[in-house]
Amino acid sequence: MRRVAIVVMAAVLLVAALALARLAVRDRPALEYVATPPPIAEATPIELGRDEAACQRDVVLTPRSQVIRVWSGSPTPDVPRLRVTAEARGWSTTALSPEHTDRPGGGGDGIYDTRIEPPPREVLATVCVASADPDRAAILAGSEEPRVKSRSATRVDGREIDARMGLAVLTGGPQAPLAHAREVLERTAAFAPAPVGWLSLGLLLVVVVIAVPAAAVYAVLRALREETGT
Amino acid sequence: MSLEHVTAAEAPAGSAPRASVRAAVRAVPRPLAALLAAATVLSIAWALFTPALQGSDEVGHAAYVQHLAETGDGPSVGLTAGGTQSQELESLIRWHNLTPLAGVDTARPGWSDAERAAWDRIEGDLRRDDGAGPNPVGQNPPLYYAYEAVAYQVTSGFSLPTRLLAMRLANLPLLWITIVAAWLAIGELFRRRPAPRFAQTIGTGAVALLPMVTFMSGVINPDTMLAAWSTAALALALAGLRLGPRPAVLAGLGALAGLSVLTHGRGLALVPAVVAVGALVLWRGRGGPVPARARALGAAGGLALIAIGLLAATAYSNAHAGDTSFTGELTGSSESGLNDLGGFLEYVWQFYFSPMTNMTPAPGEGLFGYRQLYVEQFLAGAFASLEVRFPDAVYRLVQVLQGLGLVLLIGAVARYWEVVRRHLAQVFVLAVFLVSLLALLHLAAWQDLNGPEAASLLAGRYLLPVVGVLGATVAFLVQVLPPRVRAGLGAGILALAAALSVGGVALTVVRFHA
Repeated sequence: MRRVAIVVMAAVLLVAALALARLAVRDRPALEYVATPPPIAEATPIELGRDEAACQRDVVLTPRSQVIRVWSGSPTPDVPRLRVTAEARGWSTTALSPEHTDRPGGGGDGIYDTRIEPPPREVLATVCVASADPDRAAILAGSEEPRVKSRSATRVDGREIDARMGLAVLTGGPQAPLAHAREVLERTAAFAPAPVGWLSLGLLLVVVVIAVPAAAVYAVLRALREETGT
Repeated sequence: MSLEHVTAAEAPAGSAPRASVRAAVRAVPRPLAALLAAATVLSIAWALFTPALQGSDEVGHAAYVQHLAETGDGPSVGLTAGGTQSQELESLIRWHNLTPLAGVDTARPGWSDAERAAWDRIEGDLRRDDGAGPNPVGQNPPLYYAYEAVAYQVTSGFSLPTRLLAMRLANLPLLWITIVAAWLAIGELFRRRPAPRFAQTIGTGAVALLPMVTFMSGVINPDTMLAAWSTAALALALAGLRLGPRPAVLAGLGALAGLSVLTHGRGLALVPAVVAVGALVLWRGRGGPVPARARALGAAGGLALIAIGLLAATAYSNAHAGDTSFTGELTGSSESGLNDLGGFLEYVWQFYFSPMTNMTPAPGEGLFGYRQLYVEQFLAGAFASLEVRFPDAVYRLVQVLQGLGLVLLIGAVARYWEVVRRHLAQVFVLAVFLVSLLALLHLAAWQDLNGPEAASLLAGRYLLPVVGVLGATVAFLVQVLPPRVRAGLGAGILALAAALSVGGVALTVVRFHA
């Protein structure tokens, strides 16, 4: 009986370990900050005509910030390029979205990924997005859904609008959680009270992964021993 | 000199209590101790890895605790001069970027130094006592919130994130009550003393390592307290069948039902269950060794405690929710679901099975049924605000396994009908706890479906009060199987539960922080 129990538990836990490993090494978007998530169920187009810009305040940018992502609300893949401006005290940068709009992240696929020059220090910036083509309006994906509303309202030419423009900051291409494990734990600890830090959280995670299955195995084997005396 | 040579006379002062504590700890069966330790680690992990306020409806529950702790009175459902949350809670939500986080898996919490610094700069100047409402859970009875307010007060000199964490960790004793009560309840199922250790361990493990049990104990939510009272009542009810209608049993059952009602509207489900069990215990114990006067005293005491709980809860809820009253969070609608009994029965049928010819489709989108409630949100689990989910293949696997389990259970009942028949009273207790809760949940959901929004308020965590019934069923199944099958099945159940629990924590870390 003991052997059967050990074999079954080993098989189940092995499969689980493989699934966990896959989760740890599978790439995810390298999101550094999400000012406003993209629409969930219902998009509201935000049309930006000549000289109009949609802005959000208090957007976190760090020296690792590489890309500002907004979502296109255009019904067709033929979209204009965007001009993205970020400003904070004593610092500003301007960048254009990719030249080839038909490539991934160029807007034609629904996502504008604009590479920016990162700030030298962490800042709360105001990020503005406008059409870079004076003859064509840009249509961005916004949403009036209450669930996407964050601290950053969207303003067009200084006026707050009902829809929120989806806006995120990335540190680059996709990366696996394991590749930046310490950073993942530091993020977890960001608003946690002392003495919770990345190290203690890392230790806790190790304890969870090892001790919980170990406790289950121990409980089963001990119960078998107590019952059968084997 | 070894410790064994220290006599009582030579022992230093204070060693006697220490020795008794050691003896008490040693008396805890090892398998139970291992399960308690694993559940404790998981609960702490959920509390730390789930961002603040990201449990189910956790903002409302935390705001309730804070207002109660700061002012001595709970928030109201309706408009007040205050806000939904206090200024302090509102600012944490703003700078931790928590508003768009709930249920939206493309959002991330704020984790930058700039946001933390912005919060640190203002936190000392913010009001804590202005969250008078409207709070959507303001109509809930106050017991759980008063309990949590103790943790809040103990840490009131610390920052809000510390207080929120303390409130989450304060659920640990409730988790321990649930697990120990499940162990005792399962022990009562067996006439053998001591109870068969393997079946008892597997049944209790199915409770302690069920991912939703530890997840819910890691967030601020009264469902954890409801599970504790209900599982304790189940253990006492099963013990009552053995002990007879002693006053302590009957009054204890009444007290637990009263506490349950004072915890949440869904605690009402325990009232008919406890009354039915009390009646059964009294009937079985008629002419027994417990004197009639003691029986009457116990029954009257139990009923009085239920009545006190009901009256207090109703009075509190009416005072804080106006005419939406006590059942407010139980159902979001004031429509009566009982006006159309035929429709209700058709809805329940379609919840579990495919519709039969001529059945009217239930109102709403019809996407929520047996699989979503039992498999996804209860047995396997869906975490945070339900958006942290396992891959669909995991839910399919759990669905197949629970289906096989049900077939096995039916077969085992048929094969061992004589054994079941000898334990009909125990079966009745388990069934009455289960049916009472399911009837209440389905009635409430039907009421909501007939409301203006045709939305069903049902979630897997609502089943936590019957987690002890799940454990008992698993224990029975494991016990009646042949030894080799029993060992394999039991070990598989606990390994799967542990794997799902660890997986749930890992998915949560990745969803929010990677």
